[in-house]
Amino acid sequence: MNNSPDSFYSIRYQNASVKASAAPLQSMEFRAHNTSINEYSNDILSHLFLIQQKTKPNLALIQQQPEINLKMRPLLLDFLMDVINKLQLSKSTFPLCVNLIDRYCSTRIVKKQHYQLLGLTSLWISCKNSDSKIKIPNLNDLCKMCCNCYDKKLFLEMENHLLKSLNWMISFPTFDSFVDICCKEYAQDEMFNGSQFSLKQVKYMAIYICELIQFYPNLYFNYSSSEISVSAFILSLMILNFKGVQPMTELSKLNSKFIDSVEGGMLEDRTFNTILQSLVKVLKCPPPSLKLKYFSKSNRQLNLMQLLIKFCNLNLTPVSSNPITPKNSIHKLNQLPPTPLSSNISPNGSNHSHPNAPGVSSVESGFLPSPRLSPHNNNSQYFNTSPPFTPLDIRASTSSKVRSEYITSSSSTILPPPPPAPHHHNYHPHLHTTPMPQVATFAATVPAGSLSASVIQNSTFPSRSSSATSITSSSSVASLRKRSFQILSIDTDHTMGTDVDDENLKRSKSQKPIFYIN
Amino acid sequence: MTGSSSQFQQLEKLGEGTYATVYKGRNRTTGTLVALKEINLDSEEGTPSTAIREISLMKELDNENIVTLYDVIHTENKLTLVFEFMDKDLKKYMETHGNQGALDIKLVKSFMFQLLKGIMFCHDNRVLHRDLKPQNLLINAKGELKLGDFGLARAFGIPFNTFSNEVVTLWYRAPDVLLGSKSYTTSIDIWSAGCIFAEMCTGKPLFPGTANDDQLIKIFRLMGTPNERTWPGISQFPNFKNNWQIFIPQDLRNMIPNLDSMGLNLLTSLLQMRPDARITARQALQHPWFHEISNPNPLLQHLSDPYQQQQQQQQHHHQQQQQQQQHQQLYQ
Repeated sequence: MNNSPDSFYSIRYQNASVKASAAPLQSMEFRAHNTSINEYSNDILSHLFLIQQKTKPNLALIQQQPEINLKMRPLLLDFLMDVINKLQLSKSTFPLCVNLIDRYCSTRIVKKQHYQLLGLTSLWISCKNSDSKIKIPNLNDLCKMCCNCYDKKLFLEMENHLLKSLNWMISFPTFDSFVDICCKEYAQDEMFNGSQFSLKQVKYMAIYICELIQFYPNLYFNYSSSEISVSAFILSLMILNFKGVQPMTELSKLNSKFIDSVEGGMLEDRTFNTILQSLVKVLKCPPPSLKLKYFSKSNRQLNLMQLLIKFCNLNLTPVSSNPITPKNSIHKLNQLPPTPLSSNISPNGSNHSHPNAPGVSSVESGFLPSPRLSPHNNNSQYFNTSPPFTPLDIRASTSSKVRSEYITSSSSTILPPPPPAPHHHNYHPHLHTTPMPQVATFAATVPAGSLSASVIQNSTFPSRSSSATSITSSSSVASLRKRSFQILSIDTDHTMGTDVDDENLKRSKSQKPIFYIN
Repeated sequence: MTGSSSQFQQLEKLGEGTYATVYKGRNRTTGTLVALKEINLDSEEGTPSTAIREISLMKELDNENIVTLYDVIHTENKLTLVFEFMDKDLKKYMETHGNQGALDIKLVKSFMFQLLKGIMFCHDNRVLHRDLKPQNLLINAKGELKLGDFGLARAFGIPFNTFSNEVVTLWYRAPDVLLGSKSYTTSIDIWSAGCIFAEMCTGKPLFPGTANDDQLIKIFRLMGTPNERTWPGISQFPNFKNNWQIFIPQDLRNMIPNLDSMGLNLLTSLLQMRPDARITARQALQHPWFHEISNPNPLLQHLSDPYQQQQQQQQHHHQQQQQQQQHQQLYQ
């Protein structure tokens, strides 16, 4: 975008996009849609619940996987999230993709080397299902995304196999569909009168929370996507600090509205409390991809994210006599460094892609294992100056130097992976028909460095400089494990690990209560 | 159930779509007839998105008025969908059974009722068909009508998503879509149903336009040219023009003389220009025109199934002819 000779390009672009959005037309269409939808909303909701039941991944089976474990999952998802951000895909693509991965992992054995193949193929399918035709990546794009470590044929076989294993049940009620349902109920609510935030911003926040939860298996697998979406929605109402928001009353309000279509309402009070308590601990610990998407300077909604960090800090500090006094926080927030919106307009400002930048083309922009240096440096500047002490802050301040070393060193040590061994075709008949063991044999021939190659460059966590230099493709397994452990243990005080046993959860519960609930 | 393509014997070609060819097939073991929809796989694209959407939506939709998908056969270069076999599509049915294409009103009523039931089921399950036309409505020997070809169907969100506006064959495309609306909703299927309704009564397509503008003019000629007064906000649409020729709304009665006033009332509510004024499928099924189908009177039972009645008449006629022939043979 900055290459344009027109120095006012971004201003013009912004104006044009405002004009193109045709607000009156949209509101007219929205009304038309609402009138016709009102009649169906109960049936639609109960149908969504039905599909939700049918498309649940099975955690116990995923844990039985011999080669992959839940610690690798966040790494893979982080990589996929980056791809999705670059391609600017729809909001439902990521949750659907994650669901496909998890469901496949609960039906078939997946080799470690093929975890990324599975991830990219799921992304491909979910993109085909929910995005417009122009945005769907082609096979060449997919190959580039993983540094050509999988052959084109492998993608086609994997797609074929994945669809067959899931019996072609692709649709899954994604978070955004439930968040939308909540938004619809609040469309006429009084609390938006006179507030500085709109329903759209609540939705934005809720979607962030939902996206974040997918990286934390002990939250993601324990609750259904409707439960997560509802809690995320209510939590974002709390974060944005609307007048008179009482979590429990909002919950019962939503539950009572949907009591006709869903037995027992959307979410139980107790479950809601548990989700909230665990959520607050992870809220400000996003993986790098989400950090880049939501917490970088180019984000126009950065003020919302500031509120989120503020909210966490208030709720994570040991409980004082007054648990939450949200009204004060707004004043303090205004003293934070100004949101970088203005700097955004100058064409020479930030050099990473603007969320609305036109033609951030997928392939050319040096695909995924892209150096993340600049955005993170931006981050560190920003978060160093902000008063609250956040996990984001820790990462950024301690490691910017180390990281740069790390990235250069890792990219030089990792050799381009060799092309897949030709004899894998011997195995491929198995792929069509097989249950697990044969697939596993088929998997064994792809070079071992493949998964790690992109994952390593992607993860930008501190304190790994020692391990980073030692990475070669042969030792990737051990280092991958190590690294994933590091990632997840960064915020040991606040985060829960990825292990799904509830120990962490219990421990966290035993800490002081976080919310001031009725 | 996963089959191989050798399980089915391929018979004659039934039709060709934009991305698939449909053949009649027979199950070698059971002998049952099926429809085989064959999709050639592109080596770069993988499984086409239309196929992914169609199959996953068809797996969700299990209804008597929607064609059943039995099986999917996936090989390296071909994807075959095995559907329940239906004798004819509505277009062919009208050509062969109609009076110059026009069907008996009782039959129209039965078909419309089933069509609206199918649409309602789709909308209940948050699916838009987006390509309703006589060629995609299939009819079997029992007189059952089922929706087929979900290649363009999409799941929609509760607050709408935006879609491409290149959907639905031009003749059955709703005016709001023609005007450039991208966030259309359940109402576009209803407009198509209205067009099909009129076509079944007259035997001719209601708005046989040749291009986007021509299609709009054809609609205006019958329904009247809309303006800000009749359709508030119409000037916001991208394809709105100030210089449209002004037409006065015509009486549908002149167009379709054989339809009773109750039926005309239903047709008018289906063919509303403004999407928010269009009736929904659920409301349409409650319409008094369908009274005799929705509340069948045992004494009038035969009315509710005009198809069988017609068949019986034909059989009766046939028998009489045979008897006459026999008589003639006897006397000769």
